[in-house]
Amino acid sequence: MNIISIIAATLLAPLFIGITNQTKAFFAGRKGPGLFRLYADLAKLIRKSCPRPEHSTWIFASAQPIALASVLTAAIVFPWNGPASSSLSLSASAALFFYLLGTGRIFTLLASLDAGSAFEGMGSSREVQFSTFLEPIIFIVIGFLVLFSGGTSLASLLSGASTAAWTDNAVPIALAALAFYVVFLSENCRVPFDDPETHLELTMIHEAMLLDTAGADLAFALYGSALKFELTAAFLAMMILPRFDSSIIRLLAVFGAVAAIAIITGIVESTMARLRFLKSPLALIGAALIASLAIFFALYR
Amino acid sequence: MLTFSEIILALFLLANLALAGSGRLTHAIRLVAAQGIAVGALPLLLWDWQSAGIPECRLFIIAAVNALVKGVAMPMLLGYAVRKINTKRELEPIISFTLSRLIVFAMIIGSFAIAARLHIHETVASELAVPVAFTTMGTGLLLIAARKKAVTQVLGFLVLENGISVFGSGLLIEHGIIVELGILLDIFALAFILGITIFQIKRTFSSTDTDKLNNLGDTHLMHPQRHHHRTHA
Repeated sequence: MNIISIIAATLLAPLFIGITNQTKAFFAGRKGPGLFRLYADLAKLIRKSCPRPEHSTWIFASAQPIALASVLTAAIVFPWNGPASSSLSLSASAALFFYLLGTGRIFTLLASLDAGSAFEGMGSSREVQFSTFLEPIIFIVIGFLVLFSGGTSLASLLSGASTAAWTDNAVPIALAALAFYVVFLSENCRVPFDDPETHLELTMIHEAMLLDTAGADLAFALYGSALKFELTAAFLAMMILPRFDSSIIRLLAVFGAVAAIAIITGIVESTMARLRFLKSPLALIGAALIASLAIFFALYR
Repeated sequence: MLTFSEIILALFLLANLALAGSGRLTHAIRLVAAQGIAVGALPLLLWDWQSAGIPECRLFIIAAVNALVKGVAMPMLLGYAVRKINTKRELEPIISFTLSRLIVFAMIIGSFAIAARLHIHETVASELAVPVAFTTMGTGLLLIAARKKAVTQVLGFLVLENGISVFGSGLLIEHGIIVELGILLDIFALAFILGITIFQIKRTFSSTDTDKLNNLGDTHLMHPQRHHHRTHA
């Protein structure tokens, strides 16, 4: 069961990006590239060779596989089946999960610096600045979940509340989920913070780091970010969803919620403009305050 | 149990945080309007429908008038003022937006700490109402003290007033309809006078920066031709 859910998660990851893009196409009145576009792109890219910058070292050559491997490890560690997950995911802490995602980020950063392009350096500088603001929010949200669930392992944090506790604490859960949704948008370089469609513009972050990445390396990077999208959305989904008795229903509910989050993200991207770069830290500080507010509400009741 | 009042009060706190960090005047007016409607609805949401039955007619009237004056009339008046004087945003606040937000957050912490020591659990309708009321009053004072534009200061006054209303309805203080309407008339008259003042400041200084009022004096008169009509002491 655990193996099956991990395989299902890794296979479904590109689909959710497709759902977001299709939602955006719907709002823009376009036909859209289809739900399975990223699968086709990955299949095309993986067969290609990887031309690399002339002066780049082994760091650039190894970075994308390592980045993908760390995100994949995070996917294996993730408690897809809640309390019925494998012992590996039951003992993993929440910090491990987020630092595995962070390791993926570090190697993408190193590769973009190794390529020696000023543009990529700018992108990585911004990526680091944003993640600096994100880390406190993530840990405040984890703190709220620890307070709420009593355990410190990722599985117990995300086991979901019983129906009574869930209705009692709906407001703090909603506040924490709102704060984590901001983390989700920024972590995955979505619209209010970064625009995944602005190739070669001065405002972009994630795409700027991948300018010299091509072929199979690019396939790794694209798939890695799709998986990260799915993982962070699943974290958010498990924060919101109440406890389920059956792990199959739970898994289906999580994937359904991830699809819903993908649609919401598409709607947010269609209706919002990207924040001015200097305004983004203010929005992230606001999210940190909202996350702390969740703790207050939970403590005060 | 989850109650509507809890959601409304949580939204109140979020609106306070947003108000402290928003420089766009129309945006801030919309937030205050939302707060006003919530203030109107709050007494009805805090009413114990199951045991106390259907409340008296005047509770509905007070709720409706509150929501109309604070949520519709006043924001429309201020929106009109903003359009008329063509001021779109608060450009140089005395305390920066990020710092204001952190101050409001500190106020939230302080209000929760104070409210926990007040021991008013017996009389209070919702435990959250008291800290939320304190925070809202504090946010109003912050907007009055830390902003330069007259419109934002009027908004601060309205937020302060909203905080007092939340405190009143949270403690189930009944004033009676005459007192409530009197308070509303007070606010309305004040907002009206402040609205006129904003126009006057704008006409005299071609800006709504209240800092410029500090320079008022005979030597700094903007219209020298008026000088002749003045009698010097």
